[in-house]
Formats: sequence, C-alpha cells, structure tokens
Amino acid sequence: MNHWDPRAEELLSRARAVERVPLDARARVHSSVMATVALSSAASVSALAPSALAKLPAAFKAASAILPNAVVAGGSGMVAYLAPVTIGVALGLSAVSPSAVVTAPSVTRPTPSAAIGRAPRVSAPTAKLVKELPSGSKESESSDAPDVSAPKAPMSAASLADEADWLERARLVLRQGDAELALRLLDRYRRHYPKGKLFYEATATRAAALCQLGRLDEGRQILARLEETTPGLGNLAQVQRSCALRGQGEP
Amino acid sequence: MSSLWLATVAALPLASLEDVASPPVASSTPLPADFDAIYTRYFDFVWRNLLRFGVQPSAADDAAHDVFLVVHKQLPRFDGKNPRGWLFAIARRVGWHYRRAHARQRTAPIDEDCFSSDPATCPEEHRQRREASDLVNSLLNQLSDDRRAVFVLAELEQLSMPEIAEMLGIPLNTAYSRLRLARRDFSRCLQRHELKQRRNVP
Repeated sequence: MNHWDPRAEELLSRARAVERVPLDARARVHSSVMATVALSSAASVSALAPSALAKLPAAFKAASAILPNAVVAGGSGMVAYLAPVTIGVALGLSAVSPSAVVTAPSVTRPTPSAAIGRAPRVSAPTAKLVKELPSGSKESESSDAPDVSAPKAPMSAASLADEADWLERARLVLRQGDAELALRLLDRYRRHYPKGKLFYEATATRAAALCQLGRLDEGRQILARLEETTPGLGNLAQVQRSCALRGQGEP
Repeated sequence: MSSLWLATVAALPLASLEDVASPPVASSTPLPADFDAIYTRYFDFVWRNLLRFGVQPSAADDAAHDVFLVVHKQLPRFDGKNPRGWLFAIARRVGWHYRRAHARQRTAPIDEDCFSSDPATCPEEHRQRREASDLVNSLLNQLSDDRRAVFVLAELEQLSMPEIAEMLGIPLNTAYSRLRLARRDFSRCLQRHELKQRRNVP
C-alpha cells in the first residue's frame, strides 16, 4: 500500500506539516461551550424556580474563571465575542456561539434586532418598543450597521456575566413588586448592551414588568413577538403565565 | 459566519447531530468531570477533522462548539471506549451539516481566515503555509463521505488500518477497500487540479 502516488503523498506530507489549530481557538471555543452549558443550566432551573436565576451570573463567572484568557481580543483582527443566539430549536438550550469572533468587515452579524425586525405582523406600539430595544439607544452610533469594525469593548464570558447581573437585578426588583424600577433597570441594560446577548431574556422580563404595571396590551404584544421569533426562550412560558394571570385579575 | 451558523442550527437542530450516540440527558447536568480532559486532549483532533470534512475555516469555531456541546451532553452515557472514534463520528456528522448549509449559501462571503497571530505577516506567509493544506481539503471535498473518512484517518491522522476499522465500526477489509478507492480518487482529483493549473499558466 506504500507509495501509491508520490505527488499525492508529498502533498499530504506538506499538509500534515502545516496543519495547526489557531492559537486562541481552544480557549475561545471552550469558553463558549462553558457559557452555553451554564446558560442552559440556569435557564432550565429558572423555569422551575425563579430564585435559581441567581445562579446565572455565578455560572458565567465560573465559566470565565476556568479560562481567564478566554476573552481573546487578539491582535489578529478578532474583535468581538459572541453574537447572542438563543437556540430554541436545538436542545432547548440558550446557546452561545463563538461565531461572533468576527474577523472581517464582510461579516454580517445577525443581531437580535435584525431577527425581530424580520418578523411579520407587528402592531405599531410594539414595533416602536421593539425597535427601540436593541439598537435604538441614543448612545449607540450608526446602530443600523453591524458593528464589526470598531466594537466599543470586546465581549466575553465575563461581559456575559455582567449582562446577566444586570438582568438578574431587574428580575429581582420585579419579584419584589417594583415594576417601575425594573423597567428603568432594563432601560439601563439596553443602553449598556444595545446588542446584548441576553436581549430576548431582557425583552421577556420587560414584558413581565409591563404586565405587572397593568400595561397588559403592550406586554402581550411583546410576548407575541417573542413567541414568533424565539419560541424556545427559557422564561417565556413563565412570563406568559404571569401576564395571563394578571389579565384574569383585571376588573 | 454567524448567518451560516444560525442557518445550520435552524435548519438542522443539534438533536439531529446526536444520533451518533445516545439520547440526550437533562441540560442541567453538572459539568462532567472528565469533559475538560477530553476537550484538552482531543480539541486539535476535532478541529483538524472538521476542516477536512469541509467546514470552512471561518465556521470552524462554531462547528467545534457544536461538537463539544454534543460531547458534553452525551458524556454521561459514553462508555469511555474509543473516544477518538466517538469524537470523529460526531465531528464527521457536524461537518456534514455545515458543509450542506454552506452549499445552500453559496452567496455568503467565504471568509478565508488567517490563522497567524500577527496580521502584518499574515497574508503572504499564511497563503504559502496553508496552500498545501487548503488544496488537500478541497480535494477531500471531492471524495465520498465514507472514503474520505478512511482516507483522512489513514493519510492525515496516520492511524493503522485496524484502528480505523474499529473507529468507524467497519470490517477491516472494507476499510482497506475504501482506502484503496479513496487513494485512487484523490490521485485523480490531484491530477485534474494540476492539469488545470498548467493550463492556467501562460
């Protein structure tokens, strides 16, 4: 079986010699797998017990602690970490893909706002609300274009943990009954993370807050949109139940 | 890159990638103790073979992510025998899905990733260094999936034929037969490529 084709063998030999994995790929992928696992664990628990949501930030911090260098803002044009992707279709997980380690201006990173924008049949108030959520922040410049060229800050598992912290704070005050403050916190979250990875989760929490304030129509419109775009969202069913109960209690 | 990944996931849920092993377990299971060991030991192996199975370099991160998510999920049920074969089977399947998704999205820009850590020296050096590897991967794309698996393991991973037969769960003679046919196909593809190159040279 030896020497079946000298030229092919020589080519294969050269290919073997140069094959190597990118230096930071190992850490990058590990970090994203850990974040996905942590996210799915926290989300599945939170569906049962709201208090377990507190595990979410800790889980992300643990994930980033495993690989402190997972935040790779390398010198090779790798600028940002992780587009927010909620996989409703697969595994029931909210998954985080390493794909947002974008390298070239040609990359068009799908943003949550783009996903929402594609959905049909939106009533005007909801459209306005949803439109302003992910990218309409006054602090974000040229929000229509994918920000692959000059990100404000490299995203990472650590920033994901920070995001989760923001969101958890909003949920906490909401559970304590202060929906106004929850909305304000969600506004601040939106300003800090106009294209945040937990956009959908934050939007669902916003809907819960609106329902709690009695703005049921607004809340339901948002939930309807979420159901269209991300039917597998972890806390969606819970918020829907909550809004439905509020609706039944209406005079 | 993201759009490819999204399309892949949307069209081909990971559940479909999992029929290489056992049914899923609860997603809230704690991190298996030896996940990191497997990851550390076999990451390069998985990465290399994803590219050999037609995953674009720009999507390799995502594909590796998908592979290790499946690994993490199925690890509690994995019997520990033949981990390389198990990983190879998952990578092969994930690669197949990515390849198919990429074929559907021909219009999407192909990002020829540069793997050098130094962007200044990257383009020319990268091109030269990876020329052979890229050519091999493109020739591999022209082999049938079964032959490609045997060929990759034999010629690039340089495993023995009994090992390959065991990894792929095929009789030894079948493995030899596939390797013979794969070599023939590879040689022909290479000849065609060289002929084309010569014609293009003025």
